[in-house]
Amino acid sequence: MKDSLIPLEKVTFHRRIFALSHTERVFTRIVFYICFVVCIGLTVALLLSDVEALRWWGGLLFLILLDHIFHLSSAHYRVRDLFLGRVPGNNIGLCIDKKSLRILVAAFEKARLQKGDLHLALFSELLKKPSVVWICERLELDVSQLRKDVTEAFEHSDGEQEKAEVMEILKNIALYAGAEALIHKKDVIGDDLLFAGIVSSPSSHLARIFDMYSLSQKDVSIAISFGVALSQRHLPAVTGGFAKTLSRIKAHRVNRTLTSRPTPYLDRVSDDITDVVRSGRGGFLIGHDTEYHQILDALSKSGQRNVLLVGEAGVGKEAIVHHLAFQILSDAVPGELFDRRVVSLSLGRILSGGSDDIYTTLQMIVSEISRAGNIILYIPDIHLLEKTQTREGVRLFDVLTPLLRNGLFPVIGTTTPHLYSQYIDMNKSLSQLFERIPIEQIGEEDATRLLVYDAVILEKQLGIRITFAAVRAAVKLSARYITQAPLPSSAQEVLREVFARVKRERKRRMVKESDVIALVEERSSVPIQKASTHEASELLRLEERIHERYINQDEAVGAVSEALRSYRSGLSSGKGPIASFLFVGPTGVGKTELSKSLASLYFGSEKLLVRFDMSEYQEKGSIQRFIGSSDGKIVGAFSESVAHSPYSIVLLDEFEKAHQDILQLFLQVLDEGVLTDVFGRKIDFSHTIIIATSNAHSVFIQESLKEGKDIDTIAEALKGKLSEVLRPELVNRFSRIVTFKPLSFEHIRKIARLQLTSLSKRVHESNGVAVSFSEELVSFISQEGFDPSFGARPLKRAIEKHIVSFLSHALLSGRLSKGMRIEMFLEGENTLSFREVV
Amino acid sequence: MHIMVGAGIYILKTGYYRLFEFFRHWYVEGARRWYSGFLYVFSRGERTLAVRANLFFLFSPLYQERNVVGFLLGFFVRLIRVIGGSLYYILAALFFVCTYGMWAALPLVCIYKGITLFL
Repeated sequence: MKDSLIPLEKVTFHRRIFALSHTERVFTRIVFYICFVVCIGLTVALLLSDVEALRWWGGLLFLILLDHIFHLSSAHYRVRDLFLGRVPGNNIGLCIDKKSLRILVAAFEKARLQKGDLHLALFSELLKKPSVVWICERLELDVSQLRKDVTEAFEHSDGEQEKAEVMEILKNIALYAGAEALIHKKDVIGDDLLFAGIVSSPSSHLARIFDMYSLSQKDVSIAISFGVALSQRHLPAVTGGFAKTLSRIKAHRVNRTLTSRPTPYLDRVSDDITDVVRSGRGGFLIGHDTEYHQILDALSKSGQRNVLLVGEAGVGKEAIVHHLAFQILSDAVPGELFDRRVVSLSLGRILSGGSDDIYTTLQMIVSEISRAGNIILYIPDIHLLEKTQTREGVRLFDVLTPLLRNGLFPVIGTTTPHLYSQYIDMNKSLSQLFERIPIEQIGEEDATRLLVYDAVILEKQLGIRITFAAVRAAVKLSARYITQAPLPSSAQEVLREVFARVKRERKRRMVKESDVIALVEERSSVPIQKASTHEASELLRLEERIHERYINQDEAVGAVSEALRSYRSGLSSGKGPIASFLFVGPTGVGKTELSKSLASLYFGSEKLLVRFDMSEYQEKGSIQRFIGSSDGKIVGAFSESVAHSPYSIVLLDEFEKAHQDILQLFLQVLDEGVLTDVFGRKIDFSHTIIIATSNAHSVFIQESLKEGKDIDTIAEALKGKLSEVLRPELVNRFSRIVTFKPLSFEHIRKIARLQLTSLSKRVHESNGVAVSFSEELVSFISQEGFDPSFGARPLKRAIEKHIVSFLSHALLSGRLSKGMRIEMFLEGENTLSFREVV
Repeated sequence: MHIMVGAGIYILKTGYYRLFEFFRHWYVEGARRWYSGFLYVFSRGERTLAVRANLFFLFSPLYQERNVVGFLLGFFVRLIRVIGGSLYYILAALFFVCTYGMWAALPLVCIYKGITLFL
């Protein structure tokens, strides 16, 4: 029968010591010390007495004293008993250990005497305790500053409360602490749990301090589990099992119930996972509960009992199989799986075995497994069966399929979604043999719990301490920024690397959150640290910087700059990309150029501009080139680019020309910041700026501007008109529609000046010649390159035609040589020349 | 005087409670410790003796020999193991009961001897 828990309303909190005044408490304490000494003396005297009866009484007293000493600092009852209703009066006060009770009393007294906030008084008392200081240090909190802030807040607090109210506060704190005790399987409430309790139920004064230090109940709770793991002698072998004294792997060829037969041939080409787990290597599983129970159900049913675990590499497929073996060893599985062996088949060993006849070899293995009667065959990377061929050109899969079809023994296979689509899903005779169980990555909370063990093991092995803040950051940042690998493997990888780095720097003995951030920043190229003073000032004058190399379009420049400022100040909505813009306007007005400038100026390189000409994706079938084909043969150009550059500007030129099926994908991208590709993989767009450009309705823009309408009116009218080419729900999902104005001659002139300066730089770098241009020449080039219908586009051609061609002739003919400083000017109407300048 | 009364009541109540706690620790907590000790021995023993698993497979053939001999041998071998294992657990349980009995008797003996010899 399952024990039922008592309702929380029934829990009470009372200890007689709170009813005493300070003087009474001091008095009773003195009396107790005296009584204790007297009892010891009396016991000794009785035990040494000549009277036998007294010696027996002395014995009893001795037992009572021993019991008292044994329970000197412990609580009267266990927290578990309280919630099962086994504690008198359901009094949670009896589950607090004596040292912590003393802290409560001290805080209670301090708050009453100084008429201050009880929470602050208790928090201040707790901060004196080593276990709490340890938690704070691991959370990277400045303990001495925290103490100062708490003391100051206490001095300024006004918290005179009634005794009943005080007891209610203490009860609430104890209740939260009790809940934490259950989570961490701790018997009684100690300092650390009281700390967790007070963080869970702070007063408004204390809540302000917690906000200042970003201290949350979740963090404290996991920091406690970190401490629990550190205090354990044997840890689960999650990172190779080195934390535990391992026993030798002993082969158990026949099971305990003697239902099986030995499998000598199979043993040569396989590893017995059950033996591995029995020796203490693996078997520990956090998360994946649903998937594990699905596997148990599938393996325990009658008929075909083959399961295929489909999940990305590093998602925990092997850990689930190891856990199954572990549970089998503990008989914690349905009867059908009692006393079975989980055996991992090595295809490599079969193929490298030198046997000429693979078919016979496999038949022998299968016949051995069938006769053994207790084997669960585990085939990792089962797609290899389809890929691998014998020397005679026979696929291993063709050999094994008829044998698997018989359903004589259960099989667990693993593969990735990509390879599943490519090799297994296409082959119906293979896919029908298995029950497909998708394995998703575990959540951040589970990953943190797992990483706590990893961290503790690494800490013990390398002698380098790690703060819990670093563990938390490893999980959080890996989940967010290292999207190529799933949790927990991405976070485990980060953790191992950061430990290795700190170990290389011999002077340091502590892994901190900043180390993890630096590593993830390096790996993902995404700026994670808070904006530095320099970056902040750059962000504040981003418009100015963009305009140093970009002319006009103030609205567009302002919009992208604002978006980046809100992102780096942490104020962006959190859902969807950093920002998404639909740039609308005639050709050649700088839509693409602005994206390039932004990529170069802020993202650090034009390489971080992921550009797609959407007119290339007009046909229905082009979606395969865009996000990949379901058979895995075509790689998705778009999905792969963003998966590899999660922090980038995504430029989608001529957006409206893409096929409707492709445009449909952007509903999810713009809304949730995620694209689910054909394999179900989620590609993160939350660190990208998406810029879609469109030339649609350029004539309307030009005419409206001629009519003297302002840009906001045009943008609003355009929104309605755009639904002729794009679905309204898509248009509405963009954070902003930016209308680009046509360029005037004056703008073209400024652009010409910029482009000529850039050309001059190139010539100086490559040929050592410093070139400047006369004003007349700049005007001439601007005139040549100005076409109201094409914006600045002809300008580039005009520069190429006149200036570049002139300079290349001059350089090749030797008229220009290294070290020369020249000014180019216009001679006559359209003849170019140059003169040396000093 | 008022202080002395409050403190005096507290001391008396605490003294009485300590005595009550001694017997609760000795008998209730003690029984719990002995019981978890027995459970530990039982779970360790099951890893080798597998009484539960042997019962489950009682009618399965020995070493997959699906003939009369295999079934008969399987049944008897497992029956012997189940009986052997059960005996081991019974002995272990007896050992725990006896040691707990001695533990439980200790204070009572002290009191009994103390009283009878005194009288």
